[in-house]
Amino acid sequence: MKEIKNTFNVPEGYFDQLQKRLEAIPSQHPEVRTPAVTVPLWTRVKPYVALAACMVMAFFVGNYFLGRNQSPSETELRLQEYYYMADLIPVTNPYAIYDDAPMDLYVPESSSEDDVVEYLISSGTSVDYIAYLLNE
Amino acid sequence: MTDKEILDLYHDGQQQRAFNEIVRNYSERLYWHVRSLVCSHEDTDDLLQDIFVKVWTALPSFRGEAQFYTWLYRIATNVALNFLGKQKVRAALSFESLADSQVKKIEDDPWFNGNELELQLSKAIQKLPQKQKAVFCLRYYQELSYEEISEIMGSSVGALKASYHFAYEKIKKELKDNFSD
Repeated sequence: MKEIKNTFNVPEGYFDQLQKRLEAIPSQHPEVRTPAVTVPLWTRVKPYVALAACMVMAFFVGNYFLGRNQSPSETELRLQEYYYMADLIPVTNPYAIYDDAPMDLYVPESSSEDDVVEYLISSGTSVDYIAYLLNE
Repeated sequence: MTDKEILDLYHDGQQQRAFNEIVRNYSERLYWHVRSLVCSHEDTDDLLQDIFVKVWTALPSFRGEAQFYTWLYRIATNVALNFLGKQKVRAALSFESLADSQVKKIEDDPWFNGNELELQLSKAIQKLPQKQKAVFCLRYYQELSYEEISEIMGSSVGALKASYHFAYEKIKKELKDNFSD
C-alpha cells in the first residue's frame, strides 16, 4: 500500500483503540450466528403452488354445485317465453297472437294499401322504393 | 493468520476470535482506504464502525465466491460511496459541489501532514467522480490489481482500465495547471 499514511496523520494510539472498539461489535450485535442454509427453489415455491391449486379446485367444485342446483328464475322464464313468442308475432297484425284461431290459418279479409305499405316499411324497404311501387 | 484460517476458525464456532483476527488484519488497511475517499478522520472513524458491523452481520452469508479481502473492500467501498452520496446532497443544499466541500475538508484537516504536491494531489482526487475516485484510490494507494478491483467494484477489467486512465489524465492536468501558475 502506498504511503498515504505520510499524507494524513492519526491521533496517537488510534489504531489500538480502534481495534478494541471494533472487537466489541459481536457483543453489541449478538444475533444467532448460524451459517445460512440454502433452501431449494421448489421447497420455497411449494406452499404457493399448493395454495393456488386449492383455490382452483374450490372454484371448480363451487361452480359445479352452484350451477347444478340453480333453476331459472321467474323473470328468466318470462323473458324466454317473450323471445319465443316474438318470432311468432306477425308484423302486420301484432295482436293476432291473442286470437283463438291458429296463426297459420289466419287470413286477412282484405289487405288494404295501407296494410301493404305498413308491411313494407316494417320489413325495412326504403321509402323511395315504396313510393316507386305505389306509383307503378 | 491467513484468510482461509480465519474462515475455518469462524466455521468451527470460534466466531469472536475469527472476527478479532479480521479486525487485526484489516482495520488499518480499510481505514486508509476509506480515508482516501472521504478525507476526514472523524468521518472515516464513524464509517469504519458501520463497515465492521456489516462485516459481522454478513459473515454467515459469505460463500467464498470471491476472495475474502475483496469482499471486505467491497463492503468498505460501498459504505464510503453511500456516505459520499449523502454528502453530495448535503453540499447541494448549501449550493456547493461535493468536490468543493471535500477540498475544503482537506484544507481544514488538522491531521493533514503532506507537502504541497500531496495536498494538490489529494484535492485533485477529490474532484473526480465518485466511482472513478474509488477505482483510482484502490489502484494507486491500495495497489490492487484490476482483477481484484473488478471483484470489488463489480465492473469489467476493461472498464476499470478506462476509468483509471481518465482519472489519471484528469489529475495530471489538474496538477499541471496548479503548478504552472
